[in-house]
Amino acid sequence: MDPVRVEASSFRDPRGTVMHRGGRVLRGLDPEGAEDWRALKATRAFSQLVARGALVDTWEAPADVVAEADLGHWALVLEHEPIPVVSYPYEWTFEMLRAAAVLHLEVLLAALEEGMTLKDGYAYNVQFRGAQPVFIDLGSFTPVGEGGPWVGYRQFCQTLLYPLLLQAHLDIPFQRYLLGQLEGIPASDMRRFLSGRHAFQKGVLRHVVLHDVLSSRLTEGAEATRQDLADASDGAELSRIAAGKLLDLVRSLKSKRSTSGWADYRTTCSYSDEDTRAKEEFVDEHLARLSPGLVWDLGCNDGAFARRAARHADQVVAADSDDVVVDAFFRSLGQPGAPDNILPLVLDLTDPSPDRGWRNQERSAFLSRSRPDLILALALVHHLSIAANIPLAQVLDWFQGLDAPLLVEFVERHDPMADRLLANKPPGIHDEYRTDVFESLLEERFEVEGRTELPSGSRRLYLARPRR
Amino acid sequence: MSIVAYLDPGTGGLIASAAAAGFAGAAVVAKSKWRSATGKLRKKDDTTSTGPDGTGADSA
Repeated sequence: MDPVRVEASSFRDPRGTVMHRGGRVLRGLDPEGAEDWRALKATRAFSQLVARGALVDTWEAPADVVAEADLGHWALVLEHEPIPVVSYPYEWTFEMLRAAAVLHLEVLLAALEEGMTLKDGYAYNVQFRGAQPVFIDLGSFTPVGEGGPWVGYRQFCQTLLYPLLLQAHLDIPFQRYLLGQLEGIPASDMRRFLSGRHAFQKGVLRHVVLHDVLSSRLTEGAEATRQDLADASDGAELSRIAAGKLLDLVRSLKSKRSTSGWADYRTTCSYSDEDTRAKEEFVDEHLARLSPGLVWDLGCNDGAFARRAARHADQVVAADSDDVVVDAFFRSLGQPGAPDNILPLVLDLTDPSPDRGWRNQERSAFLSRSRPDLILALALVHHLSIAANIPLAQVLDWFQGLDAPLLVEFVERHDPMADRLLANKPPGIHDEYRTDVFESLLEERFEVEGRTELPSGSRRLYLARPRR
Repeated sequence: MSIVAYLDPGTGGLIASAAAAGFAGAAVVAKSKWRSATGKLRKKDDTTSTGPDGTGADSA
């Protein structure tokens, strides 16, 4: 019998707990949580949001599922449609975070229309199914009650609005700031970032400066104030107006970051048309043969090969450390006809997302969060080995530890792209970076099932299975 | 039971949340402050009119 595993991040709201069992995602609710669910289920907003994919599909778990999992002590158990691959805001691009913020506000506005509100405003309430954001925290919905301002506003600012302002106004990538603080960027920090002339940029005076002044000077508990404000306001009108204004602001924000070291890679790289065709043929042949469930495309750049993988795989995680190229890829996935099974992520493979939060278990490390069925490592190894100084043996040890077939490209040292990386290194430091060394290390750790040399003679591709 | 549930945004955070609604929010904050101030004055009047021991009908 599969054990029930409590979701490590589901403990803050006492109304319910999310659990996993045998691939099912379940949510136990106490009597008040069950009442909130029934109120939500009765709204048109619930069915409309689920129908357009904005809200995770949810139903009351069948009695046999509840009994088998021994969850009869909950007032009610819900079941959610599973999210294929979990990701976190510090792995998203600017446009992904902006899409998550827009979705969060749209869900709030739809709820407010029918007498419900959201208890919080957390970026982690949103996940991505492919490139589509989806609101997952059903436990956040509750009847609006006496009304007044939205209690999730501070959290929304810290985890969604401020990271967006940081990048839109200051050209600072937000990911490391969100990784460092799961509760987001405090208003006081933002005020220091956005002092001087920046104070007059969109959204700063109201949502940063005023927010910080009020929060730092009025620090007592909020219940009496909430009651006063609710008495003086017209139901949830304040929440509705604030959410509408936030939505206008978030929709107007644009990232200043448009160029990066890799943004023009496709036009400046050293592949001939023949090389590109041969590489595509090799990759397509093995993708079709393996028909993998989950593919990790590491160092995905503009996602050209992630798109090829998506034709043969159930899901593709396409990761690259360059947020600008991943952002462009994300935007391209919003075009009509684009595949719906690719999750683009910003990830530095030399410093991937670690375990974070309470007991180091709330948000799991990227490398332990999912298990790939195939790894694509195309034009990646020379970056790890030469640019990041990771010995070839360690790169291959890591691949072997991932315990999945590996489709890897080795760029020889005389290739213009490898040569460019070697040009600024002291002589002798990367002497081991050679095809014969790579092949020998690869064959010690993997059974090589397929290999090819691209026509220009400076790049080789291998399909290898890890030895156990 | 308050809808605040498990988050305490703090008084300043709540007023900031009202201010996020612009003029409508500022008007509500002003109204609630006015009510609070006049409510305290009324209460003070009630208390002082109940006699030298300060025991009013509300608190009896």
